[in-house]
Parts: sequence; C-alpha cells; structure tokens
Amino acid sequence: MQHRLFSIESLSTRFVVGLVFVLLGIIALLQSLYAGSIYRDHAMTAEAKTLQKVIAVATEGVLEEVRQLSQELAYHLASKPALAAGLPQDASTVAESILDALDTPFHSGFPNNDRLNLEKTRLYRLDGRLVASSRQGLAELPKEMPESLAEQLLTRTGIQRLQALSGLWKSNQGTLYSLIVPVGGLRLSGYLEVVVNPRFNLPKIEDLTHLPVQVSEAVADTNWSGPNWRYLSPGLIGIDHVLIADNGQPALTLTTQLSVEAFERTVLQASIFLFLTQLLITGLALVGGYTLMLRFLIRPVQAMCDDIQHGIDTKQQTPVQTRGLNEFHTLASLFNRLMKDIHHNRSILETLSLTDELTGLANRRAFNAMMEREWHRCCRHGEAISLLLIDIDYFKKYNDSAGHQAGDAVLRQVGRLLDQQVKRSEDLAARYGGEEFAVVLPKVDKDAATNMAECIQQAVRTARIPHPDSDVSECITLSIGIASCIPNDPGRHDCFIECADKALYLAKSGGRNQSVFMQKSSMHHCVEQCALSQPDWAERTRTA
Amino acid sequence: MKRLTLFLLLITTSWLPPSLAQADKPVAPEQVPGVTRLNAEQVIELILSKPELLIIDVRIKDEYDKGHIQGAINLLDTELTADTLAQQAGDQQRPLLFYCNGERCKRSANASRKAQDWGYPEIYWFRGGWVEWRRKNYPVTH
Repeated sequence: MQHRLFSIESLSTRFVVGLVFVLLGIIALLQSLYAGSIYRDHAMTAEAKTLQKVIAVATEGVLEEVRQLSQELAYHLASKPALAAGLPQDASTVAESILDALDTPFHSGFPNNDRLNLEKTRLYRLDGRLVASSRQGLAELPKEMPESLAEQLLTRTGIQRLQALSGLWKSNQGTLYSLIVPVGGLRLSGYLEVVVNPRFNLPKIEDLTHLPVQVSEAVADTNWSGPNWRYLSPGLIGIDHVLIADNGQPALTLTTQLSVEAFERTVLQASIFLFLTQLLITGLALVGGYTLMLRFLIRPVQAMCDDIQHGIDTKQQTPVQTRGLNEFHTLASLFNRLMKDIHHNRSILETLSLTDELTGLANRRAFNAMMEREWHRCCRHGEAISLLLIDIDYFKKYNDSAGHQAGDAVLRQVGRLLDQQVKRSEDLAARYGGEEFAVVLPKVDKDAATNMAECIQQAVRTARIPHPDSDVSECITLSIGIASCIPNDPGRHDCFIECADKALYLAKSGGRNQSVFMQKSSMHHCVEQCALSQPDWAERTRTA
Repeated sequence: MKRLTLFLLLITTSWLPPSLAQADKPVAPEQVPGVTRLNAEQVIELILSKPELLIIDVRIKDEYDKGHIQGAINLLDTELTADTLAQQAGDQQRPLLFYCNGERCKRSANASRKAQDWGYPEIYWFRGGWVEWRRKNYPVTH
C-alpha cells in the first residue's frame, strides 16, 4: 500500500477555510505593500517629470538668449566692411583685414560680451569650406563646419540660404554652440560662424528655477527619452535633463538636485494610510467572510455530523435538522428521506425475519428472542413464567390424506385460533416448527397457564376442523405440554423449554388430545438440571 | 514643490501681459490701395532684382541702429515729408519699399500712403516688417 505524506481527508473544513482566509489576508497585505511601493515610484517619477519640464523650459529660455546674443554678434561682425563687401570666391589667400575682423570681438569686445563666452569666429565659402578662423579663441577646433549644421546649410536652396542657422554640437573641446549667418548680406558670398560655449550661460537656469543645476558632458548612451532620476543620498534625488545636439546625440546633461524628504514623508503617509485602509477593509471582509462561512457552511455540516452520530449512537431514527444554505437543506432532507426509507425497510425486514409466513404468528426466532428476554426479566423481578408447547394430533396423517394445501390451511386456522386466545400484549403465540406451536405467558403461574391451555383446547374443539384420519377424534385436536416456574437462573431458559417439551411428549404418549403439566416426580431430573424453583408441581391433568 | 509651481506659473503667465498689451495696440491695415504688399521672401527677391530700390525703415533711430535690412535708410514716418523723401529718392520714378516693426505698427502703412499721395508710382509695403524678418532669420545689418 502506498503511503501518502499528506492526506486531504485528515484536514477539517474549518481548518482549510481558515487557512485559505489567512492566505488571502497575507496576499492582500503583500499586494498592499507592493502597491505602496509602486505608488511611491510613480509619484517620484511624476515629480521628476514635472521638474524636468521646468528645467527644459528654463533651458530653452537660456538657449534662446544665447541664440539672440550670438546672432547679434554675428550680424555685427558681418556688417564689418571687410566682410560686408563679401568674400572673394577665387582668392587663394585671406586678406589680413578679414582676419582682423574675425579677431575684433576678442580684443575689442562686442555688445553684451559679458553675457556670452565667445570661443571662435570662422568664415566659410558657399560650398562650406573653411576660409579663415579667428587667430584667438580655441585653437584646436576641427577645420570644418559642424557636421549637422553643414548638412542643413548645404542642402538649402534659394532664399532659404540667407537664413541664420544655429545648434549645439559636440566638438573635441566639448559641447559648443554655433550660429551661422550669411556674409555679404542678401548677395550671399559665404558664411560666418560664431562659436560660443553654452556652459557659460547654462548656470543661469539656477537663477530661473532656484534649484542647483550641474552641467556635464553627456555620455553617448545616456537615456534621454524620459524622466531620468536617481537617489543621490537618502532624501535627495538627482534628475537629469539631457540637451540634444543637432545630430541627435546627447550633448550636455543638466543634473538637478531636489530634496524629497518632505515629499517622501507625504508619500509615506499616503502609503501608510492606503496600507491601513486596505488592511481594515480586507480584515473586515475576511472576518465577515469567515463568519459567514462558519455560520452557513461549517457549523451546519458539523451539526449534521453530530445529528447523524447521535442517531447512530442511540440507534434511533432522529431526523437531521435542516440548517445552513440551500444545498445543506436539500442534503439534510435527502438524508432524512434516505434514513426513513432505511428504517422502514429495516422494520419490514425485522417483521419478516420474526414472523412465520404461513400462519402470521411469530416464528421460532421471535419465540427464542422473546423467551430469553422474558426469562431474564422474570429472573430479575422474581415473577412466574409459563410456556405452552402445542402439537396438532396426527397432523402427518392429515397431510397425507388431505394434502399439504389442506394441511397448511389447518395450520393457518389453528394459528388464528391461538392468536385469538392470546389476548395480553405481553403474551406471545408462535409457530415452533412444523405442526408445533408455542405460547409464552410471562407473569402467569401454573393455574393460569393451565386455564389458558384449556381455553385453547376448547377453542380448537369448538372450531371443529374435520380430521377423518385422527385416532382420537373426528376433528382436529391438540396435545399441549405446560411448564411454569419462577426462574432464578438467567441462563437456563432452554431447560424450561425442554421441560415443556417433555410435558408435551407425555401428553402425546398419554393418548393425545390433552394438556399435561409437568409433574414434579416425572420431571425431577429436568427440574434439578434446570434448577427450576417451582415448589409444588401440578398433577397431570387430562382434559377430554 | 511650491517653488516649482510658482515658477511654472510665472513661465505660463509671463506670456499674458504682452498678449494683453498687444490687444490694445493698433493693427496695420491688410492692404493699402495702390501699394504692393510683400512678405520677407518677396522683399529679398525685389531687392535682388531692383538694385535701384530705395528701402526706407520708418522706425525710430534706436531700433534702426540695433539692426536693419541691408541697404535700408532710416526715415521716421513723422519726419517723412515730400522734400525729405525726394532728397533721399532723388528720382520720382524710383521704386520705394517701406517697412516698420510689423503688423502692430502703422508707421509704414502711413508712409506708403504719403508717398503715394506725393506721386511716387511704384511703392512696396513690407507689412510683416522687422518682426517677420527676424523671425525668419534673414540677414541684418548694424
């Protein structure tokens, strides 16, 4: 046989339901904690997003100012006579005056030179080739126009070519801002580029936002698509806003620090509130659910089990009380119907098992049970008990001559007569076997028993059932053996029956059609053997 | 957080006063009868195709000095008379182009009307003016 480590039958419904509810409670708590964490992250992201937008707006403002100042400077330079006249397209060398013009802002200053960090001025031909660059400023810039600006500039046609261009770009010297304007006015002959360092202007964002902003070069793989925040220290987050160069690559990262202690406290309070609310609601729901389950599911089942157990213990047909939900009502009703059917069938079976089918009297089994029971009872109470064993005289001859059907009819008729004579409820008339009958008479002494035997004899005689083959009469007659005593040994009722049988034998051997009460002398050994305490035994009685 | 909200509010509302102020400013007419209205691109084409074109900036001198269209002269509309114009133009048949600050400025429209009254046959009016020119990032001269 295979042994299982765990058996579902060993678990009670109450335990399983309780376990399920506890698990649900734990899941709800974990979910609540997880929801609080998600809420905190979302709230923080939303905060970062808002701040990032603020930084973006401020940055846009700063860069627009840089563009305007650069444009002002560029057109100022382009208006210099050396440049305003236009670039000679075929000159192989650059005129000194042009170089001087490009250097002018570095040594002579320019309008708003305190608001702009000029790094370089450069001059290009119409095809984008570098003609000259200022001798001052950054020395190691690449010798060509910023790639993204050149791409835009050279693909333009017509009047569009006169429009100024600007943008951030990554150089070998870091991120720079360039603005390109046409040289030669409307009669375009080249381009002038003003290169400035935007990091000079970006700190102004701090004045606009009143937040500390740190500017750094962006790394190539910086994630600039959405809010990018991280904890710098407990209660302090850093939010990155990435400026994109004209070629689409990250150029500068503006990192803002924001103290979120108060914000986190608010979020924590909200999380705790949510947690407690959910705990309360879930707890109430679980307790309510468990109470309902207990009341309408578990207790009804337990009560039904108790009812059934009580019925089994007491061997009584106690109906199971209907209670709980609809299904339990139905189950209890069906169970009661089933039990009623079982009891009914058992009662029929009991009746059948204790009744003689032919005569309708009690059968031998019922007689034995009754005899034993009454014998014991009389023992306990010191009461007399009497027994009549009755045999139909020459019944075999009757059967042989009249047939078994007629014989059965006689048995039925005699049985009916016996039943009619036995009037007390505690008396029992039974078919003892074949043509023999027995009558148990509790609380009846020898005189009454003798009278009863006489009454029976008289009733049969009166019935005048024809029996042509009888040697003693023309009608059916009976031989009756009578025994009576006050028993004192509970285990010897069989001896008492034997005494009655012996009396019957005497009645039959004495000529039949008579009742014989066992005489003390003739049944001495029987009396001794059976320890019957009957003080005076009646004389043999013959009834004609 | 309160600081950020205030800043956002400032950013948003900073656009309101100019807008409200603009509502009270005069609006230049859509058209001046007998005068050809141009946009920035048409102005450039006109300048390049007619070298004899006289471009007249009718804004105040400070504005002119901060930047103007290449080749433009400064002649405030209130100081514009038949004589001063004739002095600058030299020739009554010379084409004229007037511009001022833009749509919210009526100076150039008034100047165009005056020039028309004085018998100049070919008058152009750049209604978008300096605002449109700068917005489109076309070259300026200081």
